[in-house]
Amino acid sequence: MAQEEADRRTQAEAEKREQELASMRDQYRIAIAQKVERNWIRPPGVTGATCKVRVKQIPGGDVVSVDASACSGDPSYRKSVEAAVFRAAPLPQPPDPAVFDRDIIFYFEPKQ
Amino acid sequence: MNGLKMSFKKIPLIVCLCLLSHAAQAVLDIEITQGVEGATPIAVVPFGPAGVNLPVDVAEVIATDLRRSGRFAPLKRNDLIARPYEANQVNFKDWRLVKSDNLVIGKVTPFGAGYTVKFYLFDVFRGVQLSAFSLRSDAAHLRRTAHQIADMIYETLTGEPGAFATRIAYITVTDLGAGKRRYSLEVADSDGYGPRPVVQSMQPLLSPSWSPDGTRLAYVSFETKRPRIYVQELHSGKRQLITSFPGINGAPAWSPDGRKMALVLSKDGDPEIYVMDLASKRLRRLTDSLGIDTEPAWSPDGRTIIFTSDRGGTPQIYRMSADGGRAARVTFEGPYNARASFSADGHTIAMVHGENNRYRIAVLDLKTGSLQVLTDGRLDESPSFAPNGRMIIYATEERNRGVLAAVSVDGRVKQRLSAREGDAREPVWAPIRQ
Repeated sequence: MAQEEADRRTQAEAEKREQELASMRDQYRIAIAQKVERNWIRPPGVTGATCKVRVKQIPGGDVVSVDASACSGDPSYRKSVEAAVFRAAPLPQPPDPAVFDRDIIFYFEPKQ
Repeated sequence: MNGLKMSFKKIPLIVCLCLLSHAAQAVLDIEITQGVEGATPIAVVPFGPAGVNLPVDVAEVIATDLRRSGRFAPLKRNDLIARPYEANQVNFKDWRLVKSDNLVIGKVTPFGAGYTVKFYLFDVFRGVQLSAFSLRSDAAHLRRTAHQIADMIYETLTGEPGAFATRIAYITVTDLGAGKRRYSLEVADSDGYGPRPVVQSMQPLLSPSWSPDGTRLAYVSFETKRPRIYVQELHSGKRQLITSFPGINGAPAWSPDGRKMALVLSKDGDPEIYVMDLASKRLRRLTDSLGIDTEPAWSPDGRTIIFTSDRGGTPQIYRMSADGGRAARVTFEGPYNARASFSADGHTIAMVHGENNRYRIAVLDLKTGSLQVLTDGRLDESPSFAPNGRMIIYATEERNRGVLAAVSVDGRVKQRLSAREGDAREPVWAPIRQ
């Protein structure tokens, strides 16, 4: 009985921790998105272009590499997307080290 | 053999699964949907070494060109935190700190009777050199060299050709007093510097038009007190009379292949559009309406002519086949649209758009039909596209004086061009030099 109770408690705590992590992960995502959006200067007159950008960061938020090769749109658009990530560095700190990720994929899809 | 094949098949599958689970766990996917439309910051450092006395501030010319395009925002001189002029003097950290995406440095070295101008373009965030070139120049051509460098930077960063090392033609009118005026057809650099008169007259000069190869100008001259159309070679100054019919001889416009000229004649009554075959001088009448038809302009493919007509009551833009036929109305917004010209890709026309007694420059997207007013003057006139379609030059008023200005095609950046005395009007942008 006692063992079952303890197991159930551990299980509940684990679930709670999982939920906390998920919510912190969302917070972290939003913080990064906002910082990159503030730093994104889009070239005038370009609409409808999208980019998938692979980014590597290190703890502390410094950006080590940005790969924007998967990009529709002209070279100036691709450059603006790369620059947005570099300018936003250091990226925001995670609310908990457990939600830190070295690899980030940004999907740049401007909405008017 | 068979067994070997089997095991080869299995291995990639296992690898794939590993990668998938890794991706699902350890990649943060983030969607970015908002950004500010704007010009890209760039640092253009004064060309070194300091102390070399140059007739032209090369970096300033480059920065002004880039700013005028509306696509770049050069840093102010005071915000330049270092003054490198050699590649090994560049510390990218400095420039990341001021958030400049790109960096231009350069060096001018005396060479013979002139100079060698070397420049480098860097991607600041990646810390890499994007391009570097050495150009020979001399005091008389240093501005032109600076424009060429601006073109190379523009093309490297945007993927489109620049149009800074091009020329413009326009008319100036100088009041000499006692009721006398001097008219001058001039050619200058695209920023208005270095004006040189092509022809001068005490009677009106009007409507300059470039030959597509940029070697000749057509224009209207009243030097015989009556309008006549001439074509003048820029290099030799040699000129040829094209038309001298009774009545109006006006608004010449060269066809893109250089063989024909659209023009306006009133020899048969009203002002109508004609096309002349320049080799045979044979004329073909294009329009036949009760109103005034004027200001013809060719589409880049040479198939269509747009023009201004008041056949519907007020001046509006119409289009028709360059071989003749029916004309269709193009503009419907506002009581006055005139003096249209095509962008190089043929998708857009620029025009003078008049409403509430204000005349401003507007662009019409021919596909979507949307009209965008770009300028905010009272009497803006004569829009002409840059050969790369990114800027429009026009004439405007400043303290009761006609001056030239350029506006980016999105309307965000306007810049006055340098001008000397007199009224400047009717600017036309030359094609890119062959």
